[in-house]
Amino acid sequence: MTDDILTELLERAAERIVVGPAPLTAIERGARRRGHRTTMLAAVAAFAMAAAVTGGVMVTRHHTQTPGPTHQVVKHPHQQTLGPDAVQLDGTWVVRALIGQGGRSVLPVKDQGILRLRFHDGRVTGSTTCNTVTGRYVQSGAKGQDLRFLPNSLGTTLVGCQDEPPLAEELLQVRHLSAAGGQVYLHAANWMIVIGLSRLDPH
Amino acid sequence: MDAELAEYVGARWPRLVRAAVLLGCTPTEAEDVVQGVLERCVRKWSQVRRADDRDAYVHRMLVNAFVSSRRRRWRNELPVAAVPARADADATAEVDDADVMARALDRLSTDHRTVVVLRYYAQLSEQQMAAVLQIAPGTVKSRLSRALRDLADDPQLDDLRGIQ
Repeated sequence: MTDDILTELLERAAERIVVGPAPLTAIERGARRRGHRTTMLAAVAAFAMAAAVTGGVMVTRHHTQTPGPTHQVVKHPHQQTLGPDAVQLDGTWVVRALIGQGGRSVLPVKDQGILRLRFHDGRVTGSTTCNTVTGRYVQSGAKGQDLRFLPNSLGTTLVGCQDEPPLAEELLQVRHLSAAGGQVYLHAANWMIVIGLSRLDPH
Repeated sequence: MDAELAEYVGARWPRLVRAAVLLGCTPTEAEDVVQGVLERCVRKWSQVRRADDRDAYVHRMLVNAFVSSRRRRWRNELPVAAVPARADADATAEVDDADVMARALDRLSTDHRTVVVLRYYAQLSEQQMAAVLQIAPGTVKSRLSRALRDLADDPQLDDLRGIQ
């Protein structure tokens, strides 16, 4: 097999992979989040070093003076104000549908109306019938239509259960959201619905 | 995000996602891995911009991110009731040359698969691959040679060897 043939075959294999447009907003926000995390880690490291040098923990007095011009309020990326048309996720939702491969439901009948997802302050908590899923999410886009659960932050308890709905796996597929008829739908990159939600309480 | 950076990210996104899939990620994982890589690029844009070989630099970040993604502990042990469903899989995919090639890649070891993808999809030179993988150029050559031998010995690729 020549180099050209190998290149051509790899190009053909690659062309089969459907890729959406680059999520520029999410990338920009993620970069800011990484910067914020780096700043926090540096501050913690500096504090730890100072504590090690002085041989103890330093306690500072609480000052009430007005911050100087160099002070900035650092907002988490998800806290950016979404437009008035954006779907507001904060609150508790009932998982009405979990759609898997080929459009089939992966929500067992016994779990219908039981699964919950709670969105608050950029964090999501979900409960299946026996495990808890936690993580962070970023909602972005001009109308808040892009939603991504950050894979590095998403974790689950590991109680072994039978017939447990694959909530964490489904959350990792989500890239977009939409609302219709009082329900919110979370979509995969190809806009296929993967999760259907209805609100349990306002906030 | 400045215009040059946005243009760079937009232009590299599809190719990097596809490279990550060819390296062994699922499409969704690939998007996450590449997003993480590009977030770091945005953070270190002045460094990336000054790099002698920008693409090699970004591919090095991609390979490192891919290796790290394989190491994440929680991915290894997750109780599920059924095989995890994937919304973006194409269940009706026909068996064709691209499928045969993708499956041939699956049969390669991770090291061999990586050098094949970097050389023949990312189009990196052996010198660039040595820098990306942080190994000696001689090791790149030997890995590539063994990978090509494995592909040559793969009976599933017999029909494709004379392809025009």
